[in-house]
Amino acid sequence: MSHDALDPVIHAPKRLAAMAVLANSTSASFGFLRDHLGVSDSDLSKQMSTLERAGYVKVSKIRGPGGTTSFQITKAGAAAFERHLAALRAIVDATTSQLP
Amino acid sequence: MESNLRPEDELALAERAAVAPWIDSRPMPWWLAALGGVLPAGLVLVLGERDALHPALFVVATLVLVAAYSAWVGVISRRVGAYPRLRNAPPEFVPVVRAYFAGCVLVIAAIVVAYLVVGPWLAAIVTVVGFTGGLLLYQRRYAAVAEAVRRRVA
Repeated sequence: MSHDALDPVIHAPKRLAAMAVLANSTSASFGFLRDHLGVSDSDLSKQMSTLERAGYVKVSKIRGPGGTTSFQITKAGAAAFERHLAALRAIVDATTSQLP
Repeated sequence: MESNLRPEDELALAERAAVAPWIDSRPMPWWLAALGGVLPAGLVLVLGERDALHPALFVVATLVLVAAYSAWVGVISRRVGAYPRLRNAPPEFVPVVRAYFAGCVLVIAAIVVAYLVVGPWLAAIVTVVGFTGGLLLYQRRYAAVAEAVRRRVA
């Protein structure tokens, strides 16, 4: 498996971490992802917009006082994330098997 | 490619992030756990004593308690931040989750028995003690397991 099998949208570490959180939760709030990734609001918005444009996450917004923004992974996103993890594992396995 | 990490490090990053919904939520303060017992106990009492209450008072009290319990659920939801998928639970959490659901069944059974054998007042007391105590015990066990998982993926 080559590096070409890696998904360029997910490959960025912040987006990889966000996808891993979302693949293992039914939904995650904006604040939770921001705190977990240790990024600013604007940076998280940028990263999540990239994932949303790729069709990997969907956004839910509750407006009004105490309103929240939360994210869910889509089926396409879950499949892409699994493929990306499989590609990473294959690269690691190939590297390990080439060691003397 | 935007990542400068080695594939091994990316996998470790993904592994840490995968357990975040389980280990990064804020613990519930004791008063919030107490409310998780007091509010359903109030509901048990109001429903159990409905014949002794004025119909209007019964309706108002029921609506207030249901609204307050909904607000409690909302507060808990905002504190949690991410709802973990049960089927992806890290192995350390599996016994904790099983104990949680078994505890819920036991407490509900005890409430029903108390209600049928003695009456709504004892059922309400069992509700407060069972839910509040259960939530506090669950939290303590959960925090210990979360700490162990944090160390594993650090």
